[in-house]
Amino acid sequence: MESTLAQLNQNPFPYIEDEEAAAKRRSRITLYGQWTLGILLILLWELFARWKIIDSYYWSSPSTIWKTAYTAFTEGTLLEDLLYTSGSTVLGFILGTFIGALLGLSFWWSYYYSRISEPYLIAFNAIPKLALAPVLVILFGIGFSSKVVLAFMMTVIVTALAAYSGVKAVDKDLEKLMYSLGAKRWHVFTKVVIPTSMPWIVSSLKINIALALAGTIVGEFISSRQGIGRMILYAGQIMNINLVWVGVVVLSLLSILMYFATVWIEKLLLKGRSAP
Amino acid sequence: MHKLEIKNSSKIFRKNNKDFYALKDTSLQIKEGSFVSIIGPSGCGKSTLFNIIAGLIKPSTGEVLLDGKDIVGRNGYVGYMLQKDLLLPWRTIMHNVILGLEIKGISKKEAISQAAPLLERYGLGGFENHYPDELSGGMRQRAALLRTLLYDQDIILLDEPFGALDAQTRLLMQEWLLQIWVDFKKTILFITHDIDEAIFLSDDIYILTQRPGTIKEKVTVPLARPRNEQTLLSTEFIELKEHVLKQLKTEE
Repeated sequence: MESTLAQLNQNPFPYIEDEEAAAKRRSRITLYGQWTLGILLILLWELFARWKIIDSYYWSSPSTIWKTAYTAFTEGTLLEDLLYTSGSTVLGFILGTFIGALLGLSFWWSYYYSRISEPYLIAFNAIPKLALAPVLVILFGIGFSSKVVLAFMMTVIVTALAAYSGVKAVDKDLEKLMYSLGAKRWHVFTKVVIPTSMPWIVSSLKINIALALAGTIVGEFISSRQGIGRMILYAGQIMNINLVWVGVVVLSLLSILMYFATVWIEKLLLKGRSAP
Repeated sequence: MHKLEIKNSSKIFRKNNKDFYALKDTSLQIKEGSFVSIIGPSGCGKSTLFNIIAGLIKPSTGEVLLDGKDIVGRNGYVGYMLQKDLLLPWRTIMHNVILGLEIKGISKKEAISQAAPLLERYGLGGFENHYPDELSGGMRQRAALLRTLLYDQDIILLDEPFGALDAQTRLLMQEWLLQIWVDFKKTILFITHDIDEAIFLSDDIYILTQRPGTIKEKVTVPLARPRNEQTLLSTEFIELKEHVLKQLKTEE
């Protein structure tokens, strides 16, 4: 045994295949590359504005945006606006996703109920809900609740349709197995239908958070006393384009943050499953 | 009294305004603790018969008596394992195996303490916390069968459980199944279209005809137990195989 090992070791640098290390290296280099590209783009934006290649009156520049944001944050109401917008977005998103999922899942219970409702669900989904915003603002007032309702409207049907797709994908043989084990319909619903539909519901989360934010912003555009949307509209009216950019950047950051939060929720909900 | 008796069961379906029999006038008498196989060409109504016994569909005519009690159209009285293993992919092996107990309303803790020694003893020790995706076909079938077993009914229906396994694994699984049958003293009904498998495992074999499915012959297997690979080579085995083969051939 020792002699064979010794023979093997005669080559001081044997080539060892290590796929794990290679994969780690690949993802590390990718991450560095992504950060570098981002920083480079911001740097180019800044330099182009300083060298007057782009007109900084319209396009602003990262440093100006930073300064404007700082002022708006310390002297203005940027923080309150941010909380207002993110609050209504998240609340509308949660309500829309939760109620939408329940609605979609409920279609499992009855053949006729689901088949009769389905065309109306699709029709309702086709309505451009943002076009209804003025009506909703009149109905629910110019305060917080009308924004929540808009965010809710944007997400509820999408989620319901996603959950319904999941319901349709439930394996008939699994239902049969459950009944052979003496299951009642409730058991099948909780132990098979909900877990089967979960990946479908979860896949709608990422789209939903962006839709909810769009709903809230439009609500604020139409009529509001607070929120980033209102801030952008106001800044545009007084030709403070730098402040418009601050709004856009803050909304982008909010959107990215909420995106990562949903990725985290996804992982939590699909724990222990291999990727579909 | 027989443990399970199926009396003159038929199942008629209507398609394109034409009626056809999936199962016609079938009667079976199953003794307590016996291992009975049902063999026949595909589409002969074997699975229909099982669905009727399991109470998942209603027969057009006839009765299903368990210990003399009519169980037509009532589910949950027999253990039923379908062709596919049907393990829930989001549950670990342990949580799959205790599914039937959970439905009965037994607490998870209690169910796990019941299941743990079984998993250990029947070749799934160390895999309790694995997900079905991580297991081989044979292991998955073991888990599916233990799930049926743990549900603890006197009669277990097995619908071609080893159909998708390779020959070597299949033989191992057959011996494993016989071990379980001996240990638990269950009555087993087994669907297969593999003649070797039917003879190797069974006390009785029912040969079903091509559509409309009806019983052509009941063959009693006189081979001594315990059986092993040597059994497969004995003259009695080969003669019996010849007989069953001939019966099935005239069906085609």
